[in-house]
Amino acid sequence: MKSDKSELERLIRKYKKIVFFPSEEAAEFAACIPETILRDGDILILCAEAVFGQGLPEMPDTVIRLSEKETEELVRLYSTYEFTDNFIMIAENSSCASVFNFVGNGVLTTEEAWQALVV
Amino acid sequence: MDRQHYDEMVEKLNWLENQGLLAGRQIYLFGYCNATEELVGLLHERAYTISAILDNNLSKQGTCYEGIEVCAPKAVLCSAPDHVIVCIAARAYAAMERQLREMGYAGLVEKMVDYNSYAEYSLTDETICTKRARVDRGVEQINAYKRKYSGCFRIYCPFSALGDVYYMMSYLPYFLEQKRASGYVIFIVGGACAQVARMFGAGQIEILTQREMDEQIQAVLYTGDSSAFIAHHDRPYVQTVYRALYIKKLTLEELYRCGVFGLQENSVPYKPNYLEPYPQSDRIPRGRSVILSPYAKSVTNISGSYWRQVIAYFRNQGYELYTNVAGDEEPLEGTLRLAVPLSQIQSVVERAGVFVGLRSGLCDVLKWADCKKIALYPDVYYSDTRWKMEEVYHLDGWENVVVEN
Repeated sequence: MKSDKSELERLIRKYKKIVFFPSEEAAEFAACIPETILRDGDILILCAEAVFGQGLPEMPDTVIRLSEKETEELVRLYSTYEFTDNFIMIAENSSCASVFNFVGNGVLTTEEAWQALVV
Repeated sequence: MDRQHYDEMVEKLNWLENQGLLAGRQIYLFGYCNATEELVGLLHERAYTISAILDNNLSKQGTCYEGIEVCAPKAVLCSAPDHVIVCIAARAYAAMERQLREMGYAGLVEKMVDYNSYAEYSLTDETICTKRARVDRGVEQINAYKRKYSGCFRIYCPFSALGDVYYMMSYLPYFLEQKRASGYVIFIVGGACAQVARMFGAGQIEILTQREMDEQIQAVLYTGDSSAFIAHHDRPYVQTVYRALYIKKLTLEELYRCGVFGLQENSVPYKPNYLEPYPQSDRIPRGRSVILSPYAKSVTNISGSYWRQVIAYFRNQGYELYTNVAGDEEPLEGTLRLAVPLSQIQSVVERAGVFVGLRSGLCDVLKWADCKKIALYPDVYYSDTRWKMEEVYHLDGWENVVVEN
């Protein structure tokens, strides 16, 4: 991904939802993305190099591998403010809860949690 | 609508008038909610005519408020954009503004209240710089509190809502046990929410302004602070717990129990144990009184005529009627005024025998009260989900009544 804001703006306008996996700790979540979401042309997956090798398939239009620098910049931006409402970062975060808590206690299945995130 | 946001809305209205942006324009309001009702009141006081209230919610469309029709948003396109202004007092300003633009609306859109200091849908250097300065202010604050409460776990309640704080406190002990927290401090907005936390025995509480809360939470996110937890189901923007409602019907309590704290469905909530008796309870006829609570911050009000029917119904059966009020709220006509601290309200309703309230956080505070309890719900959907408000805010052991439009 081109490391500039104009490219990010273009992606925000183009995709209904952008899901970002910034670290290896997020790999377990990336590994269980339903196929339907991976193949949804309106959803873009951005992932760090470390996550990319954990079973996420190569899909040139909807899965983009980010460099370490791009990943760091995007994490920093996301943690600074809400720059759009169609971007989600999936990461282990001890300071807040996530919809995946419902998977741990059986209220939702993994597929349902993913559907909730991208709807 | 809280006082701070109301004052902000008045200030914005004054500015729009001074800039000449209201006179001669067709005024539309987007988002039918309590805040919009307040804005209607302000505009009518100043003799402005409102063309329509726009709302995406199908159950609200076709209804009327104060003689103003509630319509689908596309109604704004019927007017020439140069002569229109859309005012948004509702929370989701950014999404609403985008919807209007995507629809082809090219006229003025004005944000009347800034609820969401986290969001700015822009990537300009100026925006990033401003938001980064906000993070820096937050970091300075949290560092000060880390020094003050060294070794304590910090729990943040981002939003000033009694019900949110109530359920957070009901399940917090499990979380603290899991974290092996030797001490904790609650960060909260507003004195009323602090009262709720004290009812559960919270000994260390810091009351913040909304701005301070937002800045500190942003700093927690930015620094990846592992000694803090943001205990909420949909604030700030990184929270995704509430999204479960797009798939499954869940109550607010379940969102906290199973979502925010990740507990099993059968986990038992802790009850508030630091309650007090109301010292003047002798003046309330035992078992023959009704405590009414007609006001709520974030719920569409129920009509005055409905409350008059409620009052007449109980009066005909010989009940004494009271309205519990806070701040500058007025008692309903024909009822006596009561202003009871939250820690004492349970003793009051149990003495009275009957509580009837517009579904609000006060109903959560009275969850365990031993009396007849009736919660009234407007017949609307919860946010942008497919569940009705009664389904999400349903209270077991209560009579849950949906008041149709």
